[in-house]
Order: sequence, then structure tokens, then C-alpha cells
Amino acid sequence: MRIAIAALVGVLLASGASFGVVQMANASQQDPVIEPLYNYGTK
Amino acid sequence: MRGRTRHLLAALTGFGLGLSALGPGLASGFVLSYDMVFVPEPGFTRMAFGLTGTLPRHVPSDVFTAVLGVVLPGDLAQKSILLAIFVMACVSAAALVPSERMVPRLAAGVCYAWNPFVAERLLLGQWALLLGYAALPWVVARAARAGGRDGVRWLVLALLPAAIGGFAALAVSGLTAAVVALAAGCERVRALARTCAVVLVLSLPWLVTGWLRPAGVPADGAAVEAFAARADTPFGAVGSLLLLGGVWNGETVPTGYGHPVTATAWLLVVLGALAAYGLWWRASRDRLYAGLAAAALAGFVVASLGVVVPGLLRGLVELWPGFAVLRDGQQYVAPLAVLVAVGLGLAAEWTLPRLPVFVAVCVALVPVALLPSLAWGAAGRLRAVEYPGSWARARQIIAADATRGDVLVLPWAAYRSYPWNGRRRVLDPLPRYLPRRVIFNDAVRVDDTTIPTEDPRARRLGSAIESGGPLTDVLRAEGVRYVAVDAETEAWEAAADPPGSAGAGVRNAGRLAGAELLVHDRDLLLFQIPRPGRAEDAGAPAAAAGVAWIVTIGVVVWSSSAAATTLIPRSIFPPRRRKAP
Repeated sequence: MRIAIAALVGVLLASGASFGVVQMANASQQDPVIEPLYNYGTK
Repeated sequence: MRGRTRHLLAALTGFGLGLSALGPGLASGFVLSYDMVFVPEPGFTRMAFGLTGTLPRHVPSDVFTAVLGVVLPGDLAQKSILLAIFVMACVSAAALVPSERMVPRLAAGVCYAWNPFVAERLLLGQWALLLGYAALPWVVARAARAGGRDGVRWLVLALLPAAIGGFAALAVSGLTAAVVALAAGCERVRALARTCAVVLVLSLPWLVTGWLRPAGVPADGAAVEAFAARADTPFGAVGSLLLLGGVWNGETVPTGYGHPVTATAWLLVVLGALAAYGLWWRASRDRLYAGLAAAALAGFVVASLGVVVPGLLRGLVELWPGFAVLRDGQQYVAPLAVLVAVGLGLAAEWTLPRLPVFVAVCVALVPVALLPSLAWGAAGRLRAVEYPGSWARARQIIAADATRGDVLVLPWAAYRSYPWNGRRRVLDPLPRYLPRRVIFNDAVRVDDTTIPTEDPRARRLGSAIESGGPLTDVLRAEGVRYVAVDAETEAWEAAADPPGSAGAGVRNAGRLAGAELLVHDRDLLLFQIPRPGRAEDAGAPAAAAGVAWIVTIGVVVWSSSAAATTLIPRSIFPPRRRKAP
């Protein structure tokens, strides 16, 4: 039981981390496109 | 592990998390993101003390950066503050876990320093708010014992980071402290009275300048919707708040956050942490943790107001402008973040004797695994940049000029997306960068909503600037010596041309006729207007502000005698009585 839980947690962590790393790598390649120029932000 | 060693481990973990989160932001230069503005030579200006007639939102955080700037270069001061936030968050949350074991304590520390709240507020540049957030677990611990001996002194020290942060940080920490004191204090009324007194005294530097501001405090209920929480997960705005996200600004959500798979996993983690907290409290009945639960609930209700009953919040703001501090609701989920962090620590504590240590370590690292896009400068969105050389030239020229007069900044807006800052949005740094009073349009635009300008002098100049007509005489009468254009400079290149010259017909041509163009660069134009008039700021009296500062600093110094030099107590728990032999 313990091994199964550990394996499940490990798989979940690894998949989450790999997904995040891919997203991060993609995002860091691009400059943000910010329009309109002088706003504080958008909802 | 006992004593300071366990704090050291938590501090090192927080330091590692900080290094990981800031990433490229730790390179030489300044991280400029939304409200985060640091400059090379921050000064003790009238603006830093809130004496220029604007609302003192940056008091006393600007004074704090100026003090740091005396001993450190501006960029190093920024990095120190940002890293200190992660270290303090990890240490303070770890100290609140009722366990002697290291893994549960670190689980709480990691969760508190690495979650959607920290990521979104960091991207929004609200380091001053995060400073108060980082010390909030200490505030919880100290507020619960505010009624006891030396309770006030320790509470002052615990609230000091929030006091440095200013009104938003102190509003969150003050609300949390008041609820904890009322719900968990030994002598509730006394603890509450003491807590309110401490918060009031620490608020004096901005409270006095804001209160005595001749223009008063504006009441704009229209901004309630603009700053209300928004859904950044599939669980709606309220669900997003429960997951510690939901910041109003859709641009500051970490990359990839809110994906249905990871959001569901994070929801399960939060619910698990809440369950572990509830089960532990049912068994222990510790009043401190009941107080924290009450503060988390109160904070969550306040955070949801703008989403669930915006009309009520709008009515409150119109009734008394001070309620505007509740508009940006998401910041009030901070006490819930403390509770979730402690709950995750308790969940790790539960797993330790039952499952392999590996599982407990995984529990501790779950927040990082589910929010990896906070790493590496929030996936490259926090990068250090250098200010352009033309800015330094303008600063030198203005500093060397003996003629009085203020600086006007164009284009007429508060936020910028400079090419030299990777087009990342930032509050215009010129008001802090230049050594004179800088007039700029502090009106804030969110989508189609505009929160009107609050600076009386900017309000007086606004119509003339937006009319498209000549400006030189208007600016001279308003005491403006320099005009700095730091974006879309090509549109103002012909501004100083005399009427009828070759540049006539070009956009803004001749609007600053008679002015001299001193700095002409792609990133900055600096015009000098001859013979400016004199104009005074209608700010709060400097004497009253001085008294406020003396009182606040005096109380902080008096409190520090309780702890000599450290904010970190050996243990927040009272010593256990040993049984008599």
C-alpha cells in the first residue's frame, strides 16, 4: 500500500513538474504582448 | 532539532526558494514589474514621506528603500528585500507548526513561500505587501498573546515588516491580528485594545499624511469591480480565492496556472490541508489555532466581498473612503494561506509515522511541483534590466541645475511598457528616479475603467495636456522646469520647435515652444523650460508628519528592548511545565 501511494505521488509530481517546465520554457522564449500600452492591467 | 538550528534550516530552504523564484531577476540591474519600482539612488524626498499632496500609498516603504539605499546599491537592496521575503515566509510559517519534526515544519514553510498568492503578488510587483505577508505567521502567534506580559512589544516587532510595507500590508496584518487577539487572546478585550493601539501607532506615518491631505481621501466606488478578485482556475472567483489565487489582474497569473489538471490537484492539496488542520484542532483545542481559523475565515469573507456583494462594498466606499482598502480583496486571503501552510505541515506530520519519509517529503514539495512556473523568475517574467544611459544623463542635468522647478512626465499616464524592459508593464519609475518633485498622471486604467488622478497638481494640468494645445506657459505657471518624455518619444521630438518652423504639422509640434531640448534619445527626451514660476504642493504639514514618525520610531525602539536584536524567537510556544519529581 505504501509503495503504491509513494509511486502514485511520485508520478503525479513528475508529471506536474514536466508540464510546468515545458510551459515555463515556452513562456520564457516570448516577450509579453501588452496592449493597451498604458493600462495598469486587464481583468 | 531544537533552537535556532531548525530556524536556520527553514531559512536556508526559504533562501533556496527565493533564488529559484527570482532566477534571472538576480542578475545585475533592476526588476521592474507593475508596482515594483526600485531605482539606483532612492532619495529622502518629500514624495517619499507623502508630503506632495498625493495619497501616501508608498509610505513608509519608499523611505525604507531610501534608508537601504544609503548602505547598498539600489539593485542589491531590491534583491535583498525580495530574498528576505522568501526567507521570512518560510521561517515564520515553519515556526507555527506544532511539531518538533523538521519535515512538517518545512512543508508549511515551502507551502507558505511558494503558492499562487506569492506568485501573483510578486508578478504584480507588490513587494511591500509581501513583506507583511512574510511575517504574518509571527503576527498570528504574537497577537494570540497580546494581552500577556511583553505582549505589546513582541506584537510591535512582529508587525514591523507590515508597517514597513505600508497601508495595504498593515491592513491585512492588522485585520488578522485583531481577529486572532479577539478569538484566541487570554484576556480578549485587553488583547484587542492593545492590538488596535499597536496597529494605529505603526500606521501613523501614512495615516497622518493621508488624513491631513488638503484634497482629502477620494471615494471612488467604481473601482470595486476593477479590483475585485477574478477566476484564474476553473472553480470560479471564490474557488480561486480558496486556492490562494484570484488576483484581479489577469496579466499577473503565473504561466500555466489554472490548468484544470493542476488546479484540481492543488484543490485536493488545499482541501487536504484544511482537513488536517481541522482534525488536529479538534484534538488539541488550542486557542491560537482557533484564532488563526477565525482570521482565515474573516479574510476569506472580506476577499469575497467584491465578487459576491460588490454593491455592498461600493456602498461602504462611498460611505467612508477608508473602506477603499478592501477593494483589492484577494490580498485578504493571506491568513488563509497561513492556515493552509500549517495544515499541510500537519498533513506531513500525519504521514510520517504511517508512510515512508519519501511521501512526507513529497507532501512538502507538492506546492512547488504544482506551481513550477514560479521558478526562474516566474518563467522569465521577472528579469533584471539596466536603466538607459539617457536617464542617468537627465538625472545629472536636473541635479546640477540651481533653478527651482518641478518635472512633468509625458505621456500622460502612470504605467509604461518600455522596450528596454522587455515590454513588461511597470509603474513609471521617473518620479522615484529623478531628484525633484515629479508631476505625472496617477490615474489608473484597468480595461475601460479609469480611477481618476489623485494628485491635485496633475488634476490641474490634465485638461491642458490632453487638449493638444500649447503647454509652455501653462507649465511655467505651474512651476514646471523640466518635461521628461519616456515613451513614444518620436511623437514629441518636434515639441520645442518654434511656431511656423519646418516641423509644423507634425504631432505635438510647437507645444513646448521656447523650451530647450537637453536630452534627445530614443528612450528619453528632456526639455527645459526657462523661467518657471513657483507653485507649492498642497500636502500634509511636515511638522505633523515629523511627529508621527518620531512616535512610531520611538515605539519600535522601545519594543526592540524586548528582543534585543532578533525578530525570531526561539519558540513561539510557551515553555512546558515540567512535573515536579
